[in-house]
Formats: sequence, C-alpha cells, structure tokens
Amino acid sequence: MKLSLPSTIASSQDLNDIILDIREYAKWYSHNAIKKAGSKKSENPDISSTAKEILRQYSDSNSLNSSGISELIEYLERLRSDAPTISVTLASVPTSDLKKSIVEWSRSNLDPNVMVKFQFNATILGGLVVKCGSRIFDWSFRRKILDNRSKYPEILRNV
Amino acid sequence: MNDITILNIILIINAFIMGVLSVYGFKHLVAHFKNDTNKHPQTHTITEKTKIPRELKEEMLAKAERDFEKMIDHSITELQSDLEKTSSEVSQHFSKISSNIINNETDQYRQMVENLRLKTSEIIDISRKEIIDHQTDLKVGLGDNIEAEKQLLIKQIDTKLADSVSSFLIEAMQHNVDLGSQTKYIIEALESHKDELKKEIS
Repeated sequence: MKLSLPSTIASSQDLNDIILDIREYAKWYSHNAIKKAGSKKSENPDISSTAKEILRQYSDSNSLNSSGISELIEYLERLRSDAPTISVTLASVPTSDLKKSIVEWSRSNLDPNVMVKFQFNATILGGLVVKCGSRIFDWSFRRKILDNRSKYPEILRNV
Repeated sequence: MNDITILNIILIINAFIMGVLSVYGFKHLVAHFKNDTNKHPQTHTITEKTKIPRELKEEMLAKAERDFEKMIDHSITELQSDLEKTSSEVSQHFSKISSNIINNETDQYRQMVENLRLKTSEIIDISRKEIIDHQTDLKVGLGDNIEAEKQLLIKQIDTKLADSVSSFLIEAMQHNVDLGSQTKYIIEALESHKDELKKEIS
C-alpha cells in the first residue's frame, strides 16, 4: 500500500486524529451496509477533510469496503508507531503555512513518512531547534547571539 | 741560615773568647803567685848566694807588680773593647733583624690589606651587579604582572560587556518574534544540514 501523507498530517497526534476519523467512517460504513437492504441510507459521518483525502487516495487503488478500511487503519497505525519522527522547536506557535512548508520539505528531503512534532519556546528568540534521533541541532537566534558574544566588545570598540 | 742562628753563633764565639781570656788571665795570676812563693827559696837561695840588695829586691817586686797591673789593665781594656764591639754588633744585628722582621710583617700586613681590599671590592662589585640584576628582574616582573592584570581586567570587562549585550538582545527580541519572516531562514537552515538530518533519520 502506498499513500502520500498530506502535509496537514504533521505529527503522530495528527495521524491519530485521522485514524479516529477513519474508524468513525468504518463504523458508519458497517452500519450503512447492514441498512443497505432497508429503507434509506444515513448521512455521511462528519470526518475531517484530511481523512477524506486519505480515503480518496486509498480508494483510487483499492476497493473501499470493510476489509479495505480495516487494512487502511492497520497501515496508518503501523505508520504511527514506526514512522521516523523529528521534533522542531520554534520561537512561537507556528503558522499553518510555516508548518506546511517544514513538513513538505521534510517529507520530500528526509523521509516520505516522517512525522514532525512542533513545539514552541520563546526564549530561543527565532530560528529553530531540531531534535532528530539522538542529536539536537540548534539553529536558534539565541545560540547565535551566545556563540558570537565575544565579538560584541570588538564591534563596540569600533563604533 | 737565618739571622737568629748567625746571632747565636756570634754570641757563642764571644762567650768562648771571653772564657779563653778569663782562663788565660786566671792562669797568669796563679802563675805569678806561684812564682812569688817559689821565688822565695830561689831568692833566698839567690839571696843566700848572690846577696841581692834589699832595695833592688823591692824595686823588682814593685816593677813586677806594676807590670802585672798594667797587663791586667790592658786585658780589661781589650775585653771592654771587645764587649763594646760585640754589643754594638749585636745591637746592629738586632736592629737589622728587627727592621727586617718589621718590614716583612709590614709587607705581609700591606699585602693582606690589599687582598682584603681586592676581595671587598670584588664582593661589592658582585653585590652591585646582583642588585642591578634584581632590580631589572623586578622591573620586568612588575611590567609583566601589570600587563597580565591589565589583560585580565580587559577580559573581564569584555565578558561583562558581552553578557550585557547578549542579555539585552535576548530580552529585547523575546517579545517581538515574527516567524513569518523567518520561514526562509528556517528552510535554508534545514537545507544546509539536510545530509546530517538524513543520516540521523536513517
């Protein structure tokens, strides 16, 4: 099974929300199949657009029935537990555009299924701190200021 | 052979001469009195045989007595002269030896004083040189210490200044974070470390 995760699914938590939506959809599908022979069909369940996008992608290459949905859920659960994760800390709550940019860059350059966990910490002032595996990459403004503080007296002397 | 030994030899010779002269004088005196006693029988004999007149006999005795006294006086004079001469020589010799000894002692003393002066002068020179060296060392050491202290103070001021500027920047920037304008920087930072991130992911 090959699914291209949308950029709106950034972290494992987002993926968990999607799994819950798809479970909801599976439940609705099952009830609807029982009622199929009956009088009228119930309305579609209220699931997120990202979940709908995942279901649409799945249905493009597979038949969307009860077993297929179960297989999709299993795949997503496996992805949630096995996918590589990076943690990105920013100076404030990231905008959706920034989130999207970082996730898309990560999925196209690092791993197609990578999960990006966003955090914020105002004391880093700007830039980002990336925790990846056992390493922490600090590209924050705070680190830059502290690393270059020996140059300030020289700069002030030259003013 | 030194001067004292020569003096001793001269004194011994003088004593010997005086002894010989004394013995000679004593023997002469003894011989005279013996002759006087022995001459009586002869005289008596002669008197008896020749019948020397009493006046002649007395004259002869007076003459002999005068001769004896004269000879004794002469011996005394010679002895006195010899003693004076010896005494004079001894005095001269003594003064010569004394002056030699004094000269030697004076020379030795002068040499010792000169050696002491040279040694003292040498010690003073060494001390002066050591003092100058020590002063130089102190000046250099003091200069180094002042320079080190200066550099330490500059370093401390720089550290404080850097800390102040850093704190100011951190405090000032903390309230105006604009992530929108940082998107490009963030993506560039990720891009420039792509390989390291990939290595960690895999």
